[in-house]
Amino acid sequence: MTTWLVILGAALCTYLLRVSMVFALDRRPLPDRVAARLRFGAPAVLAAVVTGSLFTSAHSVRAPALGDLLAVVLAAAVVRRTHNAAHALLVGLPVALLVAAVAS
Amino acid sequence: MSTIEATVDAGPVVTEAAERRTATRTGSRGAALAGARDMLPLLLGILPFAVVIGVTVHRAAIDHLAGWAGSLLLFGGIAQLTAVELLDKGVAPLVIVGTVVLINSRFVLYSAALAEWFRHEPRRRRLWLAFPLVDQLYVVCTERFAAGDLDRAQRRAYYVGGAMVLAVGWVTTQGIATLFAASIPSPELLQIAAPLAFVGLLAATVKDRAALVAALVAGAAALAGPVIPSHLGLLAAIVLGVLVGGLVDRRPS
Repeated sequence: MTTWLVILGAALCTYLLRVSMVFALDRRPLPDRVAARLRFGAPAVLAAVVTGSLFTSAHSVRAPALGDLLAVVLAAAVVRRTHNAAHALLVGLPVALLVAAVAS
Repeated sequence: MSTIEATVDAGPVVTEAAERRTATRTGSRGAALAGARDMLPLLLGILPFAVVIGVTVHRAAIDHLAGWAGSLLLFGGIAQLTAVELLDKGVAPLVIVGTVVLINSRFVLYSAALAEWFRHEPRRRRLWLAFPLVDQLYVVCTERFAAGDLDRAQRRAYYVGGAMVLAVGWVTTQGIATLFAASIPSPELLQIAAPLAFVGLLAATVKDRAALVAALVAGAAALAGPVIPSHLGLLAAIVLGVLVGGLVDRRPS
């Protein structure tokens, strides 16, 4: 029962965060200047998640596994060349798994 | 006016309206498929994370059905995993809910974007559309909507198409992982898939100096995540990236 209560309570609060600006900006939309700046949210989210995944643990900064780092760098280089985001997994995953297998 | 005249008069109008509706439907269908297609690489990237959460739910001393239901109700992996782990440790419910709120506080930023994308939709529809708003959907839609070539219906269809693929893949994978956790050896090996999917999108979408600066600043700031209390490191890094990107942006707004 506690699990259900926590999940439902957390879900409700999360939904309120998701709709917060729908209500706040209902009558007065964001100024164009501010709205235009929201485009930086996507690269910021992506970079923060990638860096966080690779270089941090729950309580400290850590060195990433060599295979993971190599895979990410190669994946970024390939995607910059091909302009196809799907290539990141196709290139990076085998590299990461291969280096991990060799290192173990 | 006779019935025949009325029918004849209305003919071309009805035909034009029907054609418009058909064109919109076709356009919307195409947009929904495009949204689904654009979401696929990110979905593939987070599936290993879904497996990890499913296995964690299975191993935790909690109601497994409720833990799995969080995949849809919370629809945010980091918060769900944290909630499950804290429940397993017996932490007080209010503390867990508060922690989830802090972790998901970045959704306020996404909510501002959603309010802009769907400004002309009825409020009730916007409230429904907000439900699946999460990192992947925000990123994909931000990039696609920036071109400004989708009409209102196509924009909505694109969003829903991406959300459906993400939700079905995420919830189903977690369910399967929860049920068959005992047979899954070490899903942690595939954890690199999510950063890879994200870095792929990042490399494909950073198109100007200001966006690059936003990414670099947010990435560097995320390193401070572990020392920032209350799980606010991710939010702080994102906000800082957006602010600095905005400062160096020279494009007319």
